[in-house]
Amino acid sequence: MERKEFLKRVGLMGLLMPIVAACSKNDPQPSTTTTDSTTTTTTSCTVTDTETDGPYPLYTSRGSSIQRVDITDGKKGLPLSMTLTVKNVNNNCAIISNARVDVWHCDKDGYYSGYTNSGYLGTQNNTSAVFCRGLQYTDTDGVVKFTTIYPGWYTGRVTHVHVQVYVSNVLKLTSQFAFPEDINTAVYNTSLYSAHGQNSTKNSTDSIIKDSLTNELATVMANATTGGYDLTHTLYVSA
Amino acid sequence: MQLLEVMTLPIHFMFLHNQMTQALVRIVLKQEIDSSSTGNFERNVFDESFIEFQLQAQAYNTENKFRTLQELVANNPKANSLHYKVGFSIGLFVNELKNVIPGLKDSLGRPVSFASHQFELIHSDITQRAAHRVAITYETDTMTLFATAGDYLVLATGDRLVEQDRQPVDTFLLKIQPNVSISSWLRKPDELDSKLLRQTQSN
Repeated sequence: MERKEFLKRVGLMGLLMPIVAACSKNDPQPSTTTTDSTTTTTTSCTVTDTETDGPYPLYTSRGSSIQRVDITDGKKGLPLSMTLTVKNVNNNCAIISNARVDVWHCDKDGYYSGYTNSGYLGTQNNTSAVFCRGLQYTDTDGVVKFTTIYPGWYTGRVTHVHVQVYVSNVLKLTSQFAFPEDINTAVYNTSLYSAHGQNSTKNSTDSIIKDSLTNELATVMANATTGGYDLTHTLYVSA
Repeated sequence: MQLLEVMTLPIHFMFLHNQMTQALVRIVLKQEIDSSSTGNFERNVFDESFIEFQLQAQAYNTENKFRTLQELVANNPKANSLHYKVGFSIGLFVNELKNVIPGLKDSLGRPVSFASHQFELIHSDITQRAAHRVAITYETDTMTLFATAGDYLVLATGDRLVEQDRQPVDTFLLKIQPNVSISSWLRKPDELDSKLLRQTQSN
């Protein structure tokens, strides 16, 4: 985005009301029977469960080095195309445009950018790297897209992507989403990932994800063209 | 080297003394930016990092009880990650510097390049823009420190310790000044000692 245009938008952001549109009849409708005490229930959809933001999420804006669609930064891995939609539980699941969506996840070997972290390949100083981190503003369909690689895993956690949503500069959601178990297994059997082996932590045993799978499990489909996967997920916020 | 040798061969002592100041180093400069800073880069960093601090502080201020960075960190140590998070909001501005450290010149007025940078929040208050203060520490790539001359460091870019034996090395002088430091020091003892030994033997 041109800087001038972005500046203009930042300046106006505080004045903008979320632009909304009605849900289509085909939109997924998460269960309203969850017993999570933090979940807000409406007649048609519920707020995505809140999860920890992990150790070091990074956000940015006008001078941002992570406001981009392709967040791969040369990292090897199976291509993953993410399409995320933001919807408002306070407005009959209408989509929200101009919402800021931050995502971050580990590389194929389980390492994050932005700080020094340890994993099965030893300690890596990734302080000056920003791989697998991005932010975008939702378009008029309430959608952001990111091009990245299928995440790896690290001990103690199932495969996941961190996500944060701001609406009109107000933080509305800090959460995570997970991947179908059979696809995790298939990916980690491929040559790029097999050195690390299979993850013993599963969606059903992950301490953060296991009680939220109804609204934190993404839809993931193989993409014959890219040889990777396409992910779609909807983030429900109360705006 | 034995003490006796030093006493009997003062010229070798001088040589040794000089050699021991030689090392591979990295130079850092810490630039502080606050509401009084001027210049496009500084204003951009100030403005953007304050907005970003306000945004990201929310994750650690869900009940809106705190105002300052220090309060947020005291309440939740994870708020220390705000240094990283806010820092990446100014990444493009730093890229625009084209690796030139702002305000740092050698004795001939030439710029000094940095290889990496680190952002930190010194103080910030979500309700007081004027109180926002940040710092960026720029670090050079490896340089060879040959000697000091008065208030100046005699430096060359890269590792030139061995090369200086075979041909002249391009050097420059950098004044020791406030906010400038040496962040890393590596002397190559084996290499230098063997070189000293050769010198001693050849004399």
